[in-house]
Amino acid sequence: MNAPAPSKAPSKTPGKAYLNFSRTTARALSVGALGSLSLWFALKFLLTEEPGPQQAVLQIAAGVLSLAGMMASVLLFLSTYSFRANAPDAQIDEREVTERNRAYFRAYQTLVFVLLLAYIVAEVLEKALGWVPTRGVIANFLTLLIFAALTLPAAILAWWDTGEEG
Amino acid sequence: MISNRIQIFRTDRGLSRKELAALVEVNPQTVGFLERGSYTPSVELALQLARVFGVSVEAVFSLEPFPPLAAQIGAPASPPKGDTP
Repeated sequence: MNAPAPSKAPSKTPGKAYLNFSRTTARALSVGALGSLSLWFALKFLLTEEPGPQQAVLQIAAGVLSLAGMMASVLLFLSTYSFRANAPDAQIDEREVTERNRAYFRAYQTLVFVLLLAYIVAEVLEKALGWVPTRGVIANFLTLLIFAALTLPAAILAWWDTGEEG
Repeated sequence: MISNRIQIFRTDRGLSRKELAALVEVNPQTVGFLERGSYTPSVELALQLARVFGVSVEAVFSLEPFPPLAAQIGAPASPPKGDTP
């Protein structure tokens, strides 16, 4: 028996505007983005107002890390994994919708965990050492969280991708 | 767990995964997931697949595992490994 002709052409592929990275590249970008930005946040703790060669090196390292992390985040955000993570239901098929929803749920769980952990650490440090996070620390932490929220769903999809072709 | 005969019907109809995916408007990867049983389709997709193959949905999907093809055509089952002289 012959199969019937397709009623309409499928439109469930990302447009050419998206970068078609392999899953290995997308995984590397996700590690680069989140790793660099986390290191940048940690490094910012070590920076003080006092001038000196060591501080200058740390400043340059922090700058390089933030730039690398942001560039990797933007590249991942422009990838086909990001298309699948952010596409409306009509542009992806039902399995991809299920995967996207699972990825967003996992990203939400991760971010809530990080926020809760940060809150507990801040409370403990305040009680034990009297340390209160400065406005700058909070701003850096929010920057880290914003980039993590933007890249995590696509990163999770890249790590879940089994690499099997149709 | 739902068993399916998508791969058998697809091969019988001479369709590639890409062609079948275009007919039911899904990503070709999804056809692979369906054939391996890694993804259970919605009722709508199951009905679309059955319509493409021109059979009832029960012929493609089953709640119980499908019997082996040899058992269905009455052929003797292959002897277990190690029993052959």
